[in-house]
Amino acid sequence: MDTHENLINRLRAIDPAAEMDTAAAAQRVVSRVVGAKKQRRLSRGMLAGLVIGGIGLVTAAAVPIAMSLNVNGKPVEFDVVIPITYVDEQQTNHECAIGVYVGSGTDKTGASEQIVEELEDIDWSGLGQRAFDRSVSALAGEESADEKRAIFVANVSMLYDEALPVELLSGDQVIASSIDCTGAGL
Amino acid sequence: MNAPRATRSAIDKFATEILVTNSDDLLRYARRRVSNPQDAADVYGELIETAWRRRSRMPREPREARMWLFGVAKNVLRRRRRKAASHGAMLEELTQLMLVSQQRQAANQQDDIMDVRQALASIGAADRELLILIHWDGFNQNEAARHLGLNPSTVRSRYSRALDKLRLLVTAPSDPAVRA
Repeated sequence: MDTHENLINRLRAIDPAAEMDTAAAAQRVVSRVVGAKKQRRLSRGMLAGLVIGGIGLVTAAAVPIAMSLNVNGKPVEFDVVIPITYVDEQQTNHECAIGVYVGSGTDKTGASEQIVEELEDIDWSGLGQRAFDRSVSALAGEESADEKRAIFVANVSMLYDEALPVELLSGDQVIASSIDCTGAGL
Repeated sequence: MNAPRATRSAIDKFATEILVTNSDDLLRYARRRVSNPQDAADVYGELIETAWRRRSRMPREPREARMWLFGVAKNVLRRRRRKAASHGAMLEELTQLMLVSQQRQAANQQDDIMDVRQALASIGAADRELLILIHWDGFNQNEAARHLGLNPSTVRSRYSRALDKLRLLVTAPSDPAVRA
């Protein structure tokens, strides 16, 4: 019969990571990720204007509300801020954002937290440019600024909805969002 | 009075330090739980990116932040396994064939090590994970309990049971009654 110490030593001897000499390389990966991901954080206060919200699912019904997002009549803070970036035909950069709130009504549960994590895991890059390109091709050339904004917001909303995993929409959680995009550059 | 909120740059600085300090341990954690080095590197890259994206949620105390990072690592692995599982039995069969091949290769190298490796592979997944956390990752039993979402007393009894199973299998590897 193995002694305790002998057994533990034999167990340690088969550790597949025991002989790895990877500390420096592992740190370099951190440096690269940190360097690449330092993006401008969008202030929650910037998110004003059109609100796209829903109870239990995300809808594309736009309801104008100024400066805040309300759920069940109560103001809530955003859990996730999704940056929307694009370059227009004059090569000008534009930035706006979608602010997302997740909760069971106005309460937070474990399920809310899980959905927030899922949303944070989605790669949202490219969404803004795709929305802009779709909007450009949808324009007839005579739209007012308000109409351009509506077209752009509709495209952003559509792409956002498409990117959301279906299973996130099937529970009893509120996933409400607000967009501050104006369609600048169209 | 409420404590002042950490500034963005303070959060970034702290998160960077914590990630750098724990980077090699996180890579090893990934390596111990996937079958090949490429997958381990992928898991590691994904978990660093995920942790960085979620840095605003990182606890502000280094020990807590370390535990939080291993929680992120666990979730990344779980998500990948879920995704892999959705590819069905065909890939499972491939994985098993590769593992058998790897085991044969190892068996030719050193019988003694193979006994322990086979024994570890033969005990239940939960017991195996606990032994790996404690003896490879260096968690103490309380940390292992937190990481697994279990009571410390449950972990203590499970650890003792897992070690007994391992010992029995190493002593008598062909006894199916010992297997989980």
